Amino acid sequence: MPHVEDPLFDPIALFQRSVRSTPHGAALRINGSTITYAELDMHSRRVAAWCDMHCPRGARVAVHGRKTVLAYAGVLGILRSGRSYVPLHPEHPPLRWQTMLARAGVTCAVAPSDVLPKLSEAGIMRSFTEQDIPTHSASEVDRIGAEAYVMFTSGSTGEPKGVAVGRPQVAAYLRHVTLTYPCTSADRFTQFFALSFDLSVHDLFVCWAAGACLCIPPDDAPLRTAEFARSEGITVWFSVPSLVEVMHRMRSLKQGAMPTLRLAFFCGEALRTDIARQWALAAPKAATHNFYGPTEATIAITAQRITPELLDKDDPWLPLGIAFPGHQIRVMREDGWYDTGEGELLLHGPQVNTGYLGDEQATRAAFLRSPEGFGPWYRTGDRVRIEEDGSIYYMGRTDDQVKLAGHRVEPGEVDAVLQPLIPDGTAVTVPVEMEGTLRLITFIDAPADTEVLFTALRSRLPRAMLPERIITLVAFPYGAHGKLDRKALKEMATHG
Amino acid sequence: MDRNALRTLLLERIGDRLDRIGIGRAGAEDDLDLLRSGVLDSLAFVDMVVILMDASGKEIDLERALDRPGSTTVGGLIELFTTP
Repeated sequence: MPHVEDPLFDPIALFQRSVRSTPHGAALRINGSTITYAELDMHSRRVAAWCDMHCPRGARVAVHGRKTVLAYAGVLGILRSGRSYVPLHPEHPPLRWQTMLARAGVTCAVAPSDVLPKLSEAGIMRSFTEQDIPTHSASEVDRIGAEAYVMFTSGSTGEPKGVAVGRPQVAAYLRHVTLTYPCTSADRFTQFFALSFDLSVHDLFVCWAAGACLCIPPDDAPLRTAEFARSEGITVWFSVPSLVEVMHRMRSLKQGAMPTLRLAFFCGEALRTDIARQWALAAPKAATHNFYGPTEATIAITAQRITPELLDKDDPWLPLGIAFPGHQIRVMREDGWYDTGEGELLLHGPQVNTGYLGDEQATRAAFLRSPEGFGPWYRTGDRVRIEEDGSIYYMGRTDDQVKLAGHRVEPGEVDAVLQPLIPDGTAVTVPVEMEGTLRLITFIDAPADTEVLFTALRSRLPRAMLPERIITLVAFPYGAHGKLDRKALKEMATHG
Repeated sequence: MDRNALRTLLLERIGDRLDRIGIGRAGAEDDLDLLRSGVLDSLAFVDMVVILMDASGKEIDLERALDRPGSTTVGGLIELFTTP
């Protein structure tokens, strides 16, 4: 029984359409090799057949996120089998994988053979590896499951939160984006995002819906981005603004540096107007769009076309745009819900999911019903202003969450790992801007061996979440009302 | 600025990051890749190059320089500023 409201825009239906129309066209460009749609189709059908033989129906299956043909065939094959995938970032510690796999109930994985020992430690019992690609039988049947993937985001209680994203929600996103920003088989897409970052779902399926080629940047050249775009003839770009900031600091954003680009999307963090100006110079033919959306609302849910008029304004940040059709936005203030004005942004509509895996408390806190009694409305934690025309302007966070290179980070997750190691003290992590970049600094008020603390952090957290330093204080600073003075902590971190 | 002085400056600036990643200053051999090891992220690496540019007084074309194999290692980074 199909669950997708509009099966034409189901990710697998879109991929299959391109397999039929351009079987010999390039689907993937990876490490100098090209994989055709027919080849990727066959590889993924083998993964699907393996899932049918080894994983319970409806099970979730992990995909190790190293960007190989196996991983892309894995994502497709798992979806084709009617199951959902759980991507594992290749550089995250196995203990974090273990937590995520246990939370999602995963025991099967598609992964390179060299990581099987680590995956086994994390709870994986059966694996499909690169050695199975040439030999395994292929599935002839595709199934549409209810769920597409589970992505994990930082959780302030010390454990990552799993968002189970439905296939109807993904289909709703793909319907809007593929119709609004048409692409063709002549296009060449970037694939910068980690597979464990939900923006990668846009990369894969918007590209494959068009029969276009998905170009994977070489991992030995993380700073040669402009050269990658030129040499691969990239026409469609999607990244976090931080990547452009790196290019800007490298002085790579020279006039016309990326002449082949015709379409560009940014998402994952606020887009600065000065960076967008530099971008417009480097990619003069690119129509550029600023997207916004939390994982809970499937990839992105608002868009703003960046026009010369917007770039001329003095605003430091570009607007988030308006909600995709079919969605409703409101703001919540202490005295109620409103359609316009300032407040915490609330999202409702076909892309909004229903909660966190196995975490009723967090689900109840973030997924609400409206005063009129319908839902779910996702409470974003983003403070915004909604204008009369529906345009949304970002104003900050209502909590401590920060974005580091597009990744959501709850500083409280760092504190939760450290707290058991300093029973007589407290750990408080604050985000601090250092040399133009946001970094985390942790303060503790009890003597501790920082090497022991860092060892514990490294075993549980991604590198991007490790604090820059751990500073020991005699006592925390408190304000007049007895509240911890975070501003004073930030001052200490900056000025010593 | 000679090789030793550049190395000292580099280790001084990334010392905390070497510690947090569990490598330590003593582990910062010439072949340590600062990006792959996670000692620096892309933004921090580019900032580091700019700091070394300012200190050495040598202006380099970053995009071209980083095209060289091994340019993101400790040794490769120092080499950028010590070879003509």
